[in-house]
Amino acid sequence: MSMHEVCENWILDGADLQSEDSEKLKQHLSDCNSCRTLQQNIARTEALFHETPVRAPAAGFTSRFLEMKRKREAEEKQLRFLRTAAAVFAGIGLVALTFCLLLMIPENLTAFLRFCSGTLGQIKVLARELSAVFAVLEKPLTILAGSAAIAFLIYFIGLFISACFLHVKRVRNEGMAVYAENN
Amino acid sequence: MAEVSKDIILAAMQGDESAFGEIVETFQNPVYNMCFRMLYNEGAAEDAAQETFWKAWTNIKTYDINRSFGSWLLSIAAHHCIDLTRKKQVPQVEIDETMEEILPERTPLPLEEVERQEREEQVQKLLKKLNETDRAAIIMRYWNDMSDREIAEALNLTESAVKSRLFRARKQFAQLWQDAEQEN
Repeated sequence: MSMHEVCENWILDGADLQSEDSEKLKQHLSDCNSCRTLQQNIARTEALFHETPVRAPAAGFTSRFLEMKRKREAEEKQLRFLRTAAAVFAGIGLVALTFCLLLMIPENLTAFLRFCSGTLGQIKVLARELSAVFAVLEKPLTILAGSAAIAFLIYFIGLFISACFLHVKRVRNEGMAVYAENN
Repeated sequence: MAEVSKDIILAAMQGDESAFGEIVETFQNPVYNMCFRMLYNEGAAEDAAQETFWKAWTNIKTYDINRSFGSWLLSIAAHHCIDLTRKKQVPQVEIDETMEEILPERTPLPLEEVERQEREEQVQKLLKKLNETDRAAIIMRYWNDMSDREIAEALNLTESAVKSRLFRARKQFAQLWQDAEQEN
């Protein structure tokens, strides 16, 4: 590598040089116009960057951030709930689907239908037993129901008569009061 | 670069919102500066800076307490901006337009302001010539005084890769000055 290339690398590298190397560079710069221009241009760039201040955001950046943060957190909470609900529903759906697919297997389907028909048969037997019990108790139950119906009828007739009696009494009292006022 | 005490960082890691608010207050300028110089769009830079702090908040448990918090934040900001640039999700705004947003309408500019505007324009022109990762490395070096090792850590590169990227970038800058002078 020539001295020119070495010096060019030193300039572009921008690292601090040891005194000996620094001296060599200085000597080369006095002879080499190209390296001198390169160094000047690098220095101009660095000076420009150093003179350009750090750019600041508009006032109220922190409060804008905190507002945005609260909003996003609320949205994420909502999204988390929806995700959980979706996962639960998906789980239920998966179980139901598995169940349906298992039923689709002919053996399982016949076993399931047998189970259903067995349950229905048991319900049928229970209903038949209940009707047999009712058949034995038919007469006493009819008498009991008839007596209850008559008792209710008597009760309602009594209620009606007493209401009519109270009404007549009130009208009579009002009439007597009017008569007393007139005389 | 500014730093916050470990107690504040630990409190934020425990979910303390006010402690994290203090962190945002401390690092808003370097983070925003990184986003602005990467994207050169005020609105996009604000959004990117907010996103950086949101990512930091949601991933704060992964932060290594022995590392500089500022470098960690700048690493998140740089990666986010690199992603945005690669996906071309940043509206392109020319420097003049950006300046119009900042400066009051139709008032004559003081000399200082004109110089500042010119500097910003030159900086943008230089940075725009670099690829995203080189640009992030240059911002970290010149605006945040980060060492090669810190830059390498922040950008997931090796130290030698950082050195060669900075070397290449300086070479490009020098060439750009040369070209500009020849044009004049």
